Amino acid sequence: MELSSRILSDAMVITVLAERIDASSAIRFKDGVRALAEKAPARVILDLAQVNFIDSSGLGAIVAAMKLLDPKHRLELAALSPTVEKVFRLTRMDSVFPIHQSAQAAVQQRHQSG
Amino acid sequence: MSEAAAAAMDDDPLPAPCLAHLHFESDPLAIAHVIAELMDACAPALGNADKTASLEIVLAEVLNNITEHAYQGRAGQPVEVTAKLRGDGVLFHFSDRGAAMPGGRLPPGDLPALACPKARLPEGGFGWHLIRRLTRNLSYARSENVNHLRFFFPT
Repeated sequence: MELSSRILSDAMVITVLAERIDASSAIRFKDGVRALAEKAPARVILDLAQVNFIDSSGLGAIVAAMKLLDPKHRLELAALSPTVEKVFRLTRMDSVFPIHQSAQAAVQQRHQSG
Repeated sequence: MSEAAAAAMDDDPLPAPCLAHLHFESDPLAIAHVIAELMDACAPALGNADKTASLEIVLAEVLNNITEHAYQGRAGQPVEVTAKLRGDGVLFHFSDRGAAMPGGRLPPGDLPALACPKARLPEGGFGWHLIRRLTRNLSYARSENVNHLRFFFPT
């Protein structure tokens, strides 16, 4: 599960370089995000622009990653492709995460505290 | 319903062109490949990108269930799938020789509650909800140690 990370402004952007987060890769994804986020500022933005598919295991891994990062970090999502957006919407998990159109838009948005 | 009744539903006097008939072995690492093959076969029936997305989601969840639950992650186990064009959709039939569905029936597919502290958010329990939201006439039957899952995917 290839991930890359960079620090931009007040956030770490973790870019998922795989096209799918599914049952076969969910655990590696979660472990990879956790390892990268150890060095992250409070905001962690998961850039999903290259991910064209997640299944319920992938969704679960994203939730698991969010729980692992909490409370020291806040996990936000960016660039959900149509299928990924559909999975989040059907399960109502789109109400649980801040979701941005793109990693750039996420970084540019000031983190609202309180 | 009984397997006999479900099978009888397949014997329809109206023509139902077969889009796909696959026999393959379970492989937790190759589910995406089977999904792609079924998506290719059903492509002529799918009207738009949204339907394509929905079908891919359903196939992934169904195949995950067979691989991870019926066959408990074991590779090399037999799975058979047929997809038939019928009316305004595709009729799917998956069969496997794995463990029976717990309780012998389909899970209800209720979404886990989300109104809770982050630390208690669910990481699973979404699969059957996704299947039920995106299909119709979902049925499960078991006969002679074979699981039969059928559903209609509207296109």
